[in-house]
Amino acid sequence: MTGTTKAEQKHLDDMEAFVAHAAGLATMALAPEIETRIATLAQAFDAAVAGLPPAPLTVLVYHLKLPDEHRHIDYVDIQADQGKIDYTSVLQHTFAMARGFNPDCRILYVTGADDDTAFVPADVTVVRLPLNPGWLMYERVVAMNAYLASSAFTGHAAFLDSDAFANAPLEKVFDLGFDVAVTYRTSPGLMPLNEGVIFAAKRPGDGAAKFFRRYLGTYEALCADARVKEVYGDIRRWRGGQLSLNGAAIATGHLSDLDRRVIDGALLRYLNCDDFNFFIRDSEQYSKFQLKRKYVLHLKGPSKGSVASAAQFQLPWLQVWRKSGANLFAPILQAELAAAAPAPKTEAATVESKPGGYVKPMFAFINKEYNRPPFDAAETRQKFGGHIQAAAEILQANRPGSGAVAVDDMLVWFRNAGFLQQEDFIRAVGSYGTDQTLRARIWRIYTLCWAAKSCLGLPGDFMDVGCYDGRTVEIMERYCDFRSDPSGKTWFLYDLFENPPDEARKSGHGPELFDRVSATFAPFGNFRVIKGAVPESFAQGLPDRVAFAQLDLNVAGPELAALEIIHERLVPGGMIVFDDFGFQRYRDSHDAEMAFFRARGAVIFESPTGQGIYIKR
Amino acid sequence: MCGIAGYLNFNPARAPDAIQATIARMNRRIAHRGPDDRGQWADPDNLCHLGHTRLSVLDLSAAGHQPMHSADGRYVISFNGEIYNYRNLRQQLEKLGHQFHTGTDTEVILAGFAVDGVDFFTVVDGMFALAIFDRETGITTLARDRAGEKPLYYAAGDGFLAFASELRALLEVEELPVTLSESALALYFTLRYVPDPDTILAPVKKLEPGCVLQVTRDGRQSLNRYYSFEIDQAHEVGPDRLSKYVDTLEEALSEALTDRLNADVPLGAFLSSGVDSALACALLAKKLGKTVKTFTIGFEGDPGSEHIAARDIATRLGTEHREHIFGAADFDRICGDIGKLLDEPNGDRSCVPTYLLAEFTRQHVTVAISGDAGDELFGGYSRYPAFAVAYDRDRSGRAPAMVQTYIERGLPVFAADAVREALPQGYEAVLDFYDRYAPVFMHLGRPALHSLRQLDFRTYLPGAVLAKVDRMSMQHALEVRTPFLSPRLLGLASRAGLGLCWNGKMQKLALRHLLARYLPAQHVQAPKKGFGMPPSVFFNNQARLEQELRLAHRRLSETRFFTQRPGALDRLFRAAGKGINAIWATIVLAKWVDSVERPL
Repeated sequence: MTGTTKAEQKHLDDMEAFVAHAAGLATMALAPEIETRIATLAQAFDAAVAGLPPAPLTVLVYHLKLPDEHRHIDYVDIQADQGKIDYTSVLQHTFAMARGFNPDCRILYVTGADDDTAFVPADVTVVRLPLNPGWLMYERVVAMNAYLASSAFTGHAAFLDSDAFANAPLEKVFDLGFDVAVTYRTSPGLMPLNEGVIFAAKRPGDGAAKFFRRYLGTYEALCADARVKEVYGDIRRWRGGQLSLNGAAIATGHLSDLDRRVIDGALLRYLNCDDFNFFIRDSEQYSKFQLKRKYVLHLKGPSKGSVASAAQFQLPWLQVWRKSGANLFAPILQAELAAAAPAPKTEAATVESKPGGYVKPMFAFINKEYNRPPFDAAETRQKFGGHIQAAAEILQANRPGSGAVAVDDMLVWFRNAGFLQQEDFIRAVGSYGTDQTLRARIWRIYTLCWAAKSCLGLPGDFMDVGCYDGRTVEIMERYCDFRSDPSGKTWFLYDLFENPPDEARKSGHGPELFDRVSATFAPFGNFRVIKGAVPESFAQGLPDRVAFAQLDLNVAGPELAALEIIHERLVPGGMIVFDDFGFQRYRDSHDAEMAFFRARGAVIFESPTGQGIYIKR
Repeated sequence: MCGIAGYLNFNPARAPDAIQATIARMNRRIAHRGPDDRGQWADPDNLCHLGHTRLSVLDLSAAGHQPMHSADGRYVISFNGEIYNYRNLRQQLEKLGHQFHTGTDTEVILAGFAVDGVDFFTVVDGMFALAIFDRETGITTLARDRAGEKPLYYAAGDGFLAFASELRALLEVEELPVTLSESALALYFTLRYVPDPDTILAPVKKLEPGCVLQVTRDGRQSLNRYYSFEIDQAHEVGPDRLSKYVDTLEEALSEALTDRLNADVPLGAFLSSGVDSALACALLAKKLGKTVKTFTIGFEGDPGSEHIAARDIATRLGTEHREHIFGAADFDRICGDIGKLLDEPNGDRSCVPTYLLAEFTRQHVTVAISGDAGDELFGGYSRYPAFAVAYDRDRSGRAPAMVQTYIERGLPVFAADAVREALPQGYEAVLDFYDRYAPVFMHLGRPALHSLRQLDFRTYLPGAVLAKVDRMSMQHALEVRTPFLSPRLLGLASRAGLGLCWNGKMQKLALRHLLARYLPAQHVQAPKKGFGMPPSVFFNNQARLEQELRLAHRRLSETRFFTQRPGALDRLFRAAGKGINAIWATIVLAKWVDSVERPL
């Protein structure tokens, strides 16, 4: 900074007041000779676009070659040597990006009457205007007014600095609905609005033209203002464009994209520079993803010389955009979501037996029916599972209090499912709450718990016919506190434990299973684990009176045979729960058992869990 | 917590006594906001007249009387709210040589404004709506807090501008003609509330959150913003820094709570089963070691009622817990009075339970901590994931249409067709609402969840949630304080990356991680529940609702507004169908209209 006076510094220290001062001078009034000049220049635009097809968007780029006497900028808050910048390569990149991201746009290059245009691509329309290069910024506002007054203004327009590179389709910006959109920044000490990117919409009412008239009128008023002269001197060359834009757009206070202002008949929107006019500097590092999120990249200060580095990012980016369009961010966002934080680690809810705990059910394809058509096709299974999952997501199924549960080949909603939060049940499930197989059939397990506990006060013993690894009985036992039952009941557990028929085979069957299950229940004293085929194995031990029994043999013949024996011993009020009764796969068991009870004038309840429940009267 | 009122007179011929009488009536209208004291002030130049009703929370002495004058007499303030960092601000001002004469935050605001003008609001942590008259310049400054916790209504008429904490107070300004606003009605039937800056009555406006309105002595208005909630993607925190973020969150929330504990009256906290209130209570009880009185409300016969889980949380945290079960009698009572209780129509179904909770809480304390704003700030609403997924998958749509879809499907009230056909001119305001907030969806590559958070913070939070909390609590002179809205929390929330808000399965991850330090899984992982009256309440009272709906039709059809628009009401009623939101919004509107003493 060269010799800033106290008066100058005072103004700059309170930029907001300075802008407010400019806003106070804002006017639409233009001298007649200026209006005449605009009309004359508009004709040049008319001529330039004559015969061109209409375009939904025009990108207007303005550049004048500065004569040597004007190349040095030396203002109180900015100093630069414009002559050092290779504007040819900068402009070529500006044109390329404008076209690349906006294939259907019209690009107008507004320049001086004698400036070189040999480097300008064929798809860019050159508009030569008799402009004063010594008044670089003032003439730009005049040129923009001339464009808006011309027949060339048929679609929306984006006014870009010669070093402002489109980085996304700009037509999208006009979805927001405005006459003029300006870009703001919140950097202290800078004027809030930057003039390098301005959007002018073609809408009824000519709001854009009205605002730009105000822009120029304000510029004129500021040129004549003593306070402005004191700080900046001649602002027609530099600084005046920005200050008059801030004044005309009343850029005071904290600007936000929330705000719209109707100013002299024009609807103004304020867009954040961070998205719509992003300044890039050589001195800073930017991630590619950061740059991809910007509508316009704008070189600032000395970095004007480094257009090559911008091109290095933008050219490949443009190719990606062309292939994927507006939705190219979808996979990026997916990846971001995939990398999101895991759920918080907490004390496992499933073993929480304190009030407020929760047994978390799960939905799993453990039913053998999923091995048959149409589910045997992985694609079908996947599709089906996806739909179930989507519905479960909507319902927030299997979350405490959601009222929805996906379990046991069911998805139900508007339910209490209160048992999942029942303290006794949570304690009974205990550490098995982390077992996926058990969680996937938790409603069935609860049904068993309920039935067993209901029969606790009855005379007679308990039976589990087809107990497999005994874990379900363990849960029931804990739920009933069977080991402490004072009535002297015994729980009889039956299973082959090894070499079961294919239909009943599970991964845990084997020579050790019997010992393992026996060992589990041995300490309790009132359990008997009997190995062998049912009903033959009943010979090893069978209660005289049965209060509760579960039948789960997966094979109709032995199940019915066992039923006949158990039913005879079942006490009034006693229950039998048939694990397979409602499942399509075991229709033969269902039919046989139905016939069995029908013959005795009794009924069996088919539960939504797939279980059948019989209570002896 | 208090109420403010004011009248700026630009007509020298108007008699000051008449204006003071108006102020007195306005004060009476808002007496429920501040039952402890009442004050009026008249500018000797007959330009500015101020009124105030006071609920004493800090410095209960008469020194806190308002309107309050600055020491040099230049500024006069009428202030509603609490400034939580006023002690710190006071110290800074004292270093500048300022001498204070009371223990109130009001005096600090007055002094700070004298030093920094409207910039002072940017350093304030608090909830407020205020008016400051500068006797030297004749400029009156109206300001509202960042998020819109405290309301401020204003209306310009022939040679005057009046303002007040509540809309009904402005109805005491006899020279202010008011009509039902078609734009506002269309917005109400779309949103269930009337968003800032509109109000249900033209020409009354609400000052937007984070804004300052300055009015010159000749009535010229200048509106500026000093705050808006932005998503700061340039500095966003990803899941790799989760642990550090949660530490900071804990510290910031504890700090906000500590600041909000300052009161010279009994203080408690709302507690539902949700993450936000549980977290606030957990930090109060476990981190700050406070003995906390907690209050919750449950719904009779509703299996999803939150009071059961809240009770368990209270037990675990060791709070002094009380609960009130919402029953049929409550429904009857509130349903009958809802029009009078609401200052401006608000069809949010949670107004009723909030009213009861406030009523019940006020029996024990004067100030309550709430967990409001956690959902907007950290992405907690259950409607978010579906929209976020859809919008992130396909961004080809127009941004205003994305806002529209979210509003129409995420928070459905009346079908858009019905509103457009019934109120064609008013529907333009609905479209303008979509346009206005469309920029939230313009950010390239920004997860849509952030856009939804920002949208709701800017619209739903002040328009529905905070308005409800203020009006319902103020009916009982209960001051509700919201730690999530401290500037530090707002800053932290603005930097929370997607991965701290949502992992595809669970929302508000950062908050849940923090809560996991204090409560077990079933509370940490519990899904979001709304605080609205559950559908069961409506089903159980169906006959009453049907009767109310018939009455609503009759009441509304008798208004000048609907008389002038034949067919409009029937079109809306046909659309109301069995939609709970539409039915309740209609009943509330009709009851509100019925309670207004002006012809509408």
